[in-house]
Amino acid sequence: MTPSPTSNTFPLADVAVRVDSADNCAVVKFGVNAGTKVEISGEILTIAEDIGPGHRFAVEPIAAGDFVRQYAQPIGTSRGLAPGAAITETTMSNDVPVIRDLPDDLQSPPPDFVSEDEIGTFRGFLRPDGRTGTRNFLLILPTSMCSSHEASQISMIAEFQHWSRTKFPNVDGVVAIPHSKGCGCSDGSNLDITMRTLANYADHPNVGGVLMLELGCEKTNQTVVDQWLGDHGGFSWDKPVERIGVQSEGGTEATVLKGLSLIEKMLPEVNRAERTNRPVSEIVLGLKCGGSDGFSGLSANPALGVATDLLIDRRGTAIITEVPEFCGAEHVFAWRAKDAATGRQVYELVDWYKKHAGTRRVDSSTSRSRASAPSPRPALGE
Amino acid sequence: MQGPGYDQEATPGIVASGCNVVVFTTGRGTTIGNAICPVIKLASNTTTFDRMKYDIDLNAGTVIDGDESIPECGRRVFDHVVAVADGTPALAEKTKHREFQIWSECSVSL
Repeated sequence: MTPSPTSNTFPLADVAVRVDSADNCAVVKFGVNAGTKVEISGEILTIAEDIGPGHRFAVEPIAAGDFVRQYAQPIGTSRGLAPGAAITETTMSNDVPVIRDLPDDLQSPPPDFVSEDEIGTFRGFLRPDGRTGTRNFLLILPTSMCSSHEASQISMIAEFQHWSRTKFPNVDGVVAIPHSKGCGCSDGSNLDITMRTLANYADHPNVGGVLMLELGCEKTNQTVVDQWLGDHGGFSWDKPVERIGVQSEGGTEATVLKGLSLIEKMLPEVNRAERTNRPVSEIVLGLKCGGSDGFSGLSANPALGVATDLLIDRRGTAIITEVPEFCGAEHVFAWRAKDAATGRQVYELVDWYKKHAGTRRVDSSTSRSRASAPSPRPALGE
Repeated sequence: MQGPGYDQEATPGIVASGCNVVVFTTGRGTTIGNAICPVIKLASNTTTFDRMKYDIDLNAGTVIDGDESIPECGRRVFDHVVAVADGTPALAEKTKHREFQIWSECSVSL
């Protein structure tokens, strides 16, 4: 029998998003009140309690121990869910299967590349090493936390006193990257990541000139940074670079004044870079997600996926991270890799992170921020 | 790139890896920018977008509201990526958000 919707009965699509027909849950759109009747494929279920936007309810019975599925993938394990029941930490655990399957002969189809004349252009800063910047900054880089204060001061004063868009139309600003690293720690991965990050910022195509700033006695002082740069190929192109030290200049004020005079000297040099027409293929897009809610995976993330595909079709590049957040979905990534060897690298990234967290007795399920879905609009049925 | 989910470390990490534009999706709302790279924010829902429209560049809540399909929204995001690469400022640049933090691998940020 097909029940006909009454004024108190809403089709599922009005109330919630069920991503895949194999899903046994749906995500509430605008908030729904207890007692609201929802029609799904001819069946009517009753919402058990008020459910806010971005939260889920079961659309069919899900026995304790069975997987809750969204995107046709397990997203957790039921603790016993009747149709219309809200999915919460009480009714669902985060347990999902660890999948490591991968066909040895995996061959994903190549991107749907557009022809050369369909790629399109933007005006970017082509650098001598062949990379393209979308901005042209003068960067003030403290080699450690011990010179971060001076770096911030120089940036702030320089942007008020020395730089303006009118005077230097091809310079996007005088920026500092104060940080908390560089001393009071052991050698090893922390220092390696610090050096690599600082060096890659200095060498970035969006950076047209660098003022490096040390205290002097710290673990990552200028000598160590220069040694590290030298060991890793140095700068990719010959950009204006200056170096000063707080101890050698004679303290904070002397360092800030010296830094400002160097910035004044560098600005006209950095301003020589000009935007020219460059192919869209030179865009390197970073993908990031944060302060997520139950809608992120339904709207913003898939839309960004479409945008990324359009860029890849134009021979562009995309970079994603957040490896601990792959957990439970890594097989989806791996199966989309171009071949099995690449797919296995996805599994290795996730397994490295799990092992790394385990050695420090950290459980990745405790990483969630204090996020919940946004406050509801007037709920259906109100 | 191997790295954490933590916004303030992951974003500088992908920029250090060579990104020249970042798109950052958010449901609850974030103001994050980057010192040397434009960061475009994309809201997952219209409520958050309306509340933080001076910080969040684009709205994908249109997909939930039934006003736009995912491919249409994706095309709009792509066009804005190209415009920002071309010099149009992302809102985080207007608000001078210039976050920078280095991944503390030993503290197991997730």
